[in-house]
Amino acid sequence: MNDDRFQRLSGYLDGELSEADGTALERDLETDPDLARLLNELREVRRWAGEAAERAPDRDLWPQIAARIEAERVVELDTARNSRRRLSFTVPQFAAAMIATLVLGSGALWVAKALGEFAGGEPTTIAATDTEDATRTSATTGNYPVRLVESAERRNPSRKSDVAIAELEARLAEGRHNLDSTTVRILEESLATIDRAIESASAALEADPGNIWLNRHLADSKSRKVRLLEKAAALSAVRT
Amino acid sequence: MAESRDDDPHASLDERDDVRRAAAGDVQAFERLYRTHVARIHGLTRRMLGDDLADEVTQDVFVRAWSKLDTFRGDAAFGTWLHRVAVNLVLGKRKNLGRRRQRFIGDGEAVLERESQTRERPTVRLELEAALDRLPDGAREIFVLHDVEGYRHREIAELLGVTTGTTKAQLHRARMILRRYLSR
Repeated sequence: MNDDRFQRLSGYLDGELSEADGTALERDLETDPDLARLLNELREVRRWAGEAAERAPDRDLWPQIAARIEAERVVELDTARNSRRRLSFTVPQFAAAMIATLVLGSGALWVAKALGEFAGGEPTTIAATDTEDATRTSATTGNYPVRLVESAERRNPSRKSDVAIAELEARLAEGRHNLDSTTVRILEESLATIDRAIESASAALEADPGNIWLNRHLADSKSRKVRLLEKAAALSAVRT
Repeated sequence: MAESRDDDPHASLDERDDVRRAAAGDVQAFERLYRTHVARIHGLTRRMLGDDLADEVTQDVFVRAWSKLDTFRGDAAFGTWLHRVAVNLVLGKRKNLGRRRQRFIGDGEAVLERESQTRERPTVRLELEAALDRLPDGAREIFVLHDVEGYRHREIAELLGVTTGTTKAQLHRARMILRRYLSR
C-alpha cells in the first residue's frame, strides 16, 4: 500500500475527498480486498477513539483549584489595598517609617558585620541559625527580615513561619493601641484574607500532601503574612 | 471550531447564569461549572499529556479560565470556550515539554510494535490511553484533536501553526500505528 493511496483512504474515511476521488476509491475498494480490509481497520481505530469515555479524575481537584483562585484574589486585594494605603499615609507617618527603616537597617548592618557574615552589602548572606534568631532578627532589621524568614522557611517552612507569625502577632498586640482605627481595620481585613488563603491551602494539602505548588503557595501565603505583620509591628513600634 | 457537545442551548440556561455569577466573583458558581466540565477537560489533558500531568494541567485550565472569564463573551457555549482554553494551555505545555519528552518516548512505532506482538486485542477503553502514551508527540496531539475531540484539519493546523498537509500526514501516521496495535 503506497502512501498516496493510504492518504486518500484516510481522507475518504474523514469525508474529505472530492466526489470524483471518492467514486474512484470506491471502485478500488470493490476490487482490492487489502484496501477494503485496511479501510475497516482504520474505521475501527476511529470508532475506538470516538468511544473514549469521559472520566472524571480519580480525586477531586476542586480544593486545589479553589485554593489557587483564593490566592489570586488575595494578590488582587493586596495590590489594591497597598495602592490605597500608600495614598492614606500622612507625611509624618511616612517620615517616621523612613527613619525607622534607616535606623533598623543600620542596626542590621552592624549585626551582620559583627558576625562576619556580611560581605559586599548582600543581605542574602545573612542566615539565621534557628527560628528564634530568625524571628528576633527579622523584628529588628527593617528591610532584611523577609529574606531571613524565607531562609529559615527553606529548612522547615511551616514551623518557622508559624513561630515567626506568633511572635510578630505578640509584638503587634503590644503596640496595637498606637495604631489608628482605620489602619487596624485595613490590617485586620488583610490578615483575614491571607488567613483564608492559608486555610484553603492547608485543607487542600491534607488531601494532597505532596503537591509542590500547594506547599509553595502555603509558604508564600505565610511569608506574605509575616511581611504584613512586620510592617504593622514596625509602625506600631515607631508610634510608641 | 469543531462542533461541541456543549452547544445544546437548552442545557446551558443555568450554565449561562453560573458563568455570569462566576465572572462577578462567585466561586460557588464557578465550582458548578467545574463539576459539569471537569471530566471532559481531564479527558483531554490525560490523552494529550498522560496521567502524570493530567491533574495538574486540569487545575491550570480552570484557574486560567477563572482569570479569563471576563473575556468570555458568550458567542459560543461556555464548554466550547473552556475547551479552547484547555487546548491552548495543553499545547503550550506540550511545547515546553517537547524536547524533554522526546528523549524518553523514543520511537513510538517501534515501541507499539513490540507491545502489540505480546498483547491480546485491546477491548478496554483505557487501552486507548495506554496506546496514546506511546505515540510520537506530533502524531498524538493531532490524533487526539481530530479523532477524539472532533477538530478539523484546518483548525488543528491553525492551533499548531502548521499546514493541513502536515496534520493529515501525522494523523495518517498515528492511525497506522494504532491500527497495528488494534489488529494484533
